Amino acid sequence: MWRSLVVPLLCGATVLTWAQIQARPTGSAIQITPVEELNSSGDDFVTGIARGGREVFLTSSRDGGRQRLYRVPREGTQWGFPERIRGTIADATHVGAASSTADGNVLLFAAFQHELGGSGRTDIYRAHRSGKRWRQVENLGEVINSPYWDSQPCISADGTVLIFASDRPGSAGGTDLWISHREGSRWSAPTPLRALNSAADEMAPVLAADGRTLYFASNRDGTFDIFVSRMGPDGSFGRPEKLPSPVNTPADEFYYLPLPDQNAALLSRTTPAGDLDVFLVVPNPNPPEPILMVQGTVRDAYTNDPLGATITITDLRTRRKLAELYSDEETGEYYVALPAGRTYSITASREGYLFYSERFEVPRNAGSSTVTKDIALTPVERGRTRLLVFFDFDKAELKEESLPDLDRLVEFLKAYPSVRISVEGHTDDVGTDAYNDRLSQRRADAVKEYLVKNGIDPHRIETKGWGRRRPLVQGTTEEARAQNRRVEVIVIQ
Amino acid sequence: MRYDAVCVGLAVMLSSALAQEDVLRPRGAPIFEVGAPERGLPLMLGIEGGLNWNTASATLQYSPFTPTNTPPQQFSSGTGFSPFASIAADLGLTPRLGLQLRVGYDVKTFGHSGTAEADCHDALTGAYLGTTPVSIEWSFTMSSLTAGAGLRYELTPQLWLTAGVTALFLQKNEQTATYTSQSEQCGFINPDDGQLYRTLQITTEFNTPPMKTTRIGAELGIGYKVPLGRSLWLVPQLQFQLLSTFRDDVTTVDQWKPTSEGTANYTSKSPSQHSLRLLVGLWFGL
Repeated sequence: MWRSLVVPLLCGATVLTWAQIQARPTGSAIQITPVEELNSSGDDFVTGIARGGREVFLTSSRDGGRQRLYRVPREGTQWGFPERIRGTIADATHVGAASSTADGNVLLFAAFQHELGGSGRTDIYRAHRSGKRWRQVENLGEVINSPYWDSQPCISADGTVLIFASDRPGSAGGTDLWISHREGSRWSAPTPLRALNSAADEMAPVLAADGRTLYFASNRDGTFDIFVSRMGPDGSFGRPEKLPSPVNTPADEFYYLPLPDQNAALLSRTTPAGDLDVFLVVPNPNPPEPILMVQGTVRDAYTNDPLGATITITDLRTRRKLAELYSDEETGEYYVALPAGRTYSITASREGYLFYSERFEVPRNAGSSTVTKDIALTPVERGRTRLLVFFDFDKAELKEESLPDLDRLVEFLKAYPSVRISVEGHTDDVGTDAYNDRLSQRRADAVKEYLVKNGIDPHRIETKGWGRRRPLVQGTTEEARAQNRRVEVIVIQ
Repeated sequence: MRYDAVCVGLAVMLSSALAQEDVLRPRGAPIFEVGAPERGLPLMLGIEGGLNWNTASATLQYSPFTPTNTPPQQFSSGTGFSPFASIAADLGLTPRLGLQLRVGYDVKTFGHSGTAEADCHDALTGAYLGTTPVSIEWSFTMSSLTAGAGLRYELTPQLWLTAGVTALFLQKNEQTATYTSQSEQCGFINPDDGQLYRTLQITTEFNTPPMKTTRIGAELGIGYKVPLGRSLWLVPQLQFQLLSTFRDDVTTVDQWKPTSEGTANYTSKSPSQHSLRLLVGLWFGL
């Protein structure tokens, strides 16, 4: 009996192994080509990618030998001309190694001998983008910077995690990787990533947009090679794995950045001439986990003017605010990277305007994709928004996922105490008018009840159930029906 | 053996002293690494050369009277071009600010040519014949070793301003004056010895004491860095040098046109000389 099974099992295992080998990218399948548009006779290395891959931050010593920071626009496979970032950011002997949040509006960078001062050696600085200008340039301060070499900051896409390289004592030796978390408006005291650090040098950290995959360079085996480590469920990084040849070679490799819009990565490597150049790795043999990239423009609903707004990302299941990003003050553009496996709300808010929220569910097994969602905010005096509230079928009890947006409405009403609102319920076209009227009224009342429970004067709130009589869109498709099932808030005074 | 060890040690110390950190490498790149990319170290060395445009002036104070248009009055001002060369080091203190040290050799030449009047004496008999036009051509050259220190501030990565002090240590000076009579009949009373020279032209080499052996000055400049290579810049620069006096006041007798009152004394007071300099530097970044 057992003997008769051995041969089929062996054959099956052989076929499976062969199939796996065929399916996995092998060294010979990986193409590595220099990105001539970025390279010069000096050092060139890309350290940050923003706005869904539409711009990268390049450090180059092409102009006079000093390291300088460049922004390079990118559209698909087309690279624009590197534009040198000037102004206060550049007031340093060396400046570079910049990393930004997904929206590209918060930039962390390193500078040696910056005019703003620092701890004496290379320090980490922050700048905020407003339109085409970088403002509020400041040293990150003593919490992050030390009297030692502190450089190569990597900020997570949502701006809540900072990983950087430092040769300060307290870890394994040489330069090591340190991590800090954003706590409100402050960074926590950095701690070493002991699972990744060795007695050799670790540097050039790159945290992918999924927030869980960390690439870095280490010379623990002689020359600098690229390693990858993935965050476990407990939030700690696992044992690093060296990327295969031909990514790693006897030359020094630094800064491995997966491109969010294609299965490829950028890599910096020393050339026979002795300088660093940027290379494109296709395909990426160790890609990060998939993400949903949400991008769009925030505008005034009536004037159509672009608006700078706060973009809040909330985990709807845990109701935890995950991050705050910003739309561009001049263009209104926003970019948000949502890692897989969660349901999110993205809320755009701005003083003087009623907020607007959108729900995104990103399944764990989904591939990376990009959606465009433009947001129109209404001024408070003419405010109108759709609330992100959820009910079970045929029920009027608010689901937990509804609470973040309702809490936001409570905050709004407290911030504008003279405002009176109308909460209006709507259903889809399934069922009778009488039934839908009752259901929509009960749902609107449920919202009012929550607001009152949270300290809002009931006289400031009217409710109305419109049933199916005021659909947002026409049609009987499931998508149309989903859009029509809603609760709206309208400012009436 | 010991000598070799000392050399290697010094080389290592120099290397580590000059290997400046950057955002990628905390210990900088070894400067002796063959083919190493340029690191933009804040230390630059420069070779400079150029031309001075010198202006000099002095106040001539006569006593007890001022004769009319005598040859010494042509010594009140002069101008001229002269060369200079130097080697310099620029040590970056901050991204925009640097300390520049400079040593060199500098020549200041200035002079004047003009026409005045002098008594005309018969070249043969010495008899007074009246006055005659005299053309005067003089030049003054001072050669000095120089040393200076200053600050360099970059307005932009290409445009820099410099301000500093300089010292000139006089090595030699040459002063010549040629007086030419416009009349073949006339001889001159030599201004140096008061004797009648029966020639149409006299040239004197004089060494007016006391010359200042050390002069101090202030320098202000504006330069433009033209990159020629990864660590090489050509820097044309315009500089103004405001210098202390080059000579003490000196009093002399003007014997060119004695009158019935006799001769007049004149004092050359507060002689000053400044330079506008156009220089070109070749700077190497280390």
